[in-house]
Amino acid sequence: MLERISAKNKCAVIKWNGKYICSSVDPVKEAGDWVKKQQMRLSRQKNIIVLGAGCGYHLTALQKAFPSIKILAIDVFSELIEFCKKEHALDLSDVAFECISSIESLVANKKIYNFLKSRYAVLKFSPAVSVHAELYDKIEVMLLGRTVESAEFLGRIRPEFQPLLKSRSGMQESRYLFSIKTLDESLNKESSEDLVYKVKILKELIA
Amino acid sequence: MRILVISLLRLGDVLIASPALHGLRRKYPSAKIDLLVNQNFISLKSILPDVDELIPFDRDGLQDGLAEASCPLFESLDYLDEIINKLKSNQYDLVVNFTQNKLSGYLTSLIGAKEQIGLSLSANGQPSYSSSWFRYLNDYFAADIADRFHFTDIFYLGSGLPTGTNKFVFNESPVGKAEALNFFSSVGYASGPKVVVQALTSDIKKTLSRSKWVDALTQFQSFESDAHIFLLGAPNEAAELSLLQQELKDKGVRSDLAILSLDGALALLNVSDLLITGDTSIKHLASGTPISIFEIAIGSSDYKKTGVYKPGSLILKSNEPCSPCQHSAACHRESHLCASQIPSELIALAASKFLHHDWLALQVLAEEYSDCANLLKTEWAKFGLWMARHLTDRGTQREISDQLSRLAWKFLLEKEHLKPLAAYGSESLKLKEAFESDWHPDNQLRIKMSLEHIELTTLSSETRINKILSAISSKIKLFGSFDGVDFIDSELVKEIIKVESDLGLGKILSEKFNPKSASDFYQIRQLQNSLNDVFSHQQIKLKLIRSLRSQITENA
Repeated sequence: MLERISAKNKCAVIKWNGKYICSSVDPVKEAGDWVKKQQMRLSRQKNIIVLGAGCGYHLTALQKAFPSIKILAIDVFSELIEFCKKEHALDLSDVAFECISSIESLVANKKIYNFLKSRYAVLKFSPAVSVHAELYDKIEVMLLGRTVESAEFLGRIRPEFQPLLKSRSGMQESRYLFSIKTLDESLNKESSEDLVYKVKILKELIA
Repeated sequence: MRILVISLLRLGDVLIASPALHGLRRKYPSAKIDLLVNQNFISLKSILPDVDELIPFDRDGLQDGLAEASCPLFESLDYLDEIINKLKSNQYDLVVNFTQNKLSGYLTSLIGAKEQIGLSLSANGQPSYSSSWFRYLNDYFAADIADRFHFTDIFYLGSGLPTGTNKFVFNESPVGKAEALNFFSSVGYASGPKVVVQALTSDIKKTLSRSKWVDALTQFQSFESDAHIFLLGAPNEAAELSLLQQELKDKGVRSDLAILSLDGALALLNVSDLLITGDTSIKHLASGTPISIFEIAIGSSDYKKTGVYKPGSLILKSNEPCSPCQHSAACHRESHLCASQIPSELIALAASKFLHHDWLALQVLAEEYSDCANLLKTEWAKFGLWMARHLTDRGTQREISDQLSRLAWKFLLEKEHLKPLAAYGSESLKLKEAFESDWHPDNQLRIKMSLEHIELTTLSSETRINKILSAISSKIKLFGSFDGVDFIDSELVKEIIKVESDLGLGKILSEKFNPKSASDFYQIRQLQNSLNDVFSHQQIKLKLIRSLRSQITENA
């Protein structure tokens, strides 16, 4: 149940089922601080998926700080997406929104599918994802591709990397986490030379 | 033409390549020369005049993508792909790899260029070098051979550049000049020598203790009362240097903190008189300025490989037998002996005498303190190699033998000995000229006897190596295959190890065989190749000795 409220600094914020999904005091400052923490990492990114549309202030702060980055905001509730679009119509005109209410809808979503074809980062806005933490966690796991199931999902989207997902060791365990070591183990005679070189270079970085 | 130079190690390693960059620019004046460096060195562009573009390699970004579970699985692969594609799109004609590690080896191959110099690795890890100098660096340096060359010379000669233009060249930027001007206006300018002290290094083993610096600089000030001391450091070193400054102040020594960027440091060095430094990148920067450089080489500092390059510089080296030690390992002694055994008065006296270029006084100092330290003078020899000559060891049999040995390696690596008219005569003449200032006419007999002795020793070594090679070859001929035959029996192992030790070959030979599997084909071939190299080296050395002897006899 969405409740629209005025924060102490007069900005419009939301209470979802009685819980604030951003700061009730100064959501703009909260958003700015959140972006500052990501600064180093985001300076080299071109595409970002943000989990939790929330009240939208973190999205406007992100867009302002990195105007050339493509942002895709995912929320599990369409009402929150509508709020963001109305409240920040001008500032978020370049941000794409997708409502994802289950893992099945995530896997079937064409916009997300296309977004995952190139390099991206995944960020979570904690106050916003707290409304449905379990589902957001599952979405994050699928997008990161570090488990067997999620790696297979990403492998379907990026067929050029499928040869790297055939590691023999430990794959049966559902909690198994993929790493560069796993990818290296999968290299074989059929792997393209370019891919072999790249995996070897990355392995040297953590040697 | 487009050239890419790869230098992905530390700041000092990038700066040490300056002469090679300058040489490439002279050889290819209209080429576009790009330099691939770690992201945090991108600001070097302002001081490197021979480089057109600095391309960042975001090592941290790639590592984060690998190590962080919150980063998508393919993030680093995609990021690396972007970096590689950008490099490939430049369609380089020549890639020169100065980094010489596996990462750079794979990168060199992946970028693909018409010509590659330095280590490149195939997808299954097979190395190729395109230059004997880089092969020497990878094979023999790693095996700890005594005949080591300065990295600057290896980069320069390995790039196929002609002898004679090994200069460090840096640009003073407007930003750097402004920083230095600001600094001088804040400290107040006065007459008297300006002495820059780079007290801190990147490794605690290479750094003198604060108390040692305080003692040494206090004594130095008593000898040079009108000198101005500037404690140079980066912003992250300010706190540590402030403590040093305070302790100096307590002793009545005035010093100023010079917390500057690299550009500012270069500008400061350009107008100062003396730099006293540990093994730091600042000393390499200083080699491109008029400043006199006094290096204190302790801990893991290996002056033979990375000593201050500028001719006429002074190096103070600890006498402790464990120095230089391994970079990565902690000091294994109970206390940091190689630093503590160097008397602070020696540092002060040497700095004072060096400030006035009093080499005679420095020679006396070297004699007096020879039980705890060595003083060396850097020179650039006409035969194309950098030298650091002991002030107490000049013109001795050991020194002559060492230089002949290094010149022989240069001949071998440049395949000079295979030419129909190999330059034994002209090169030995240059060697003679290099030592001539130390050869008193009365010493002619002593020098001839030294050369005779060196010749006999070299002849003996040549014979021993030939015997080892013959022994291995005979077994191969006798048995026809490598299966089940012990090609290197225990007696041969002993002799190989002894030859290795006598000739200062580190582990060039012994690392190439495992006595338990001596019939391994690849190992035997590797050993034969190294033995052939060493044999050729001794033969070349003999020819140089004989040519040098005839030069001396002619002039007698």
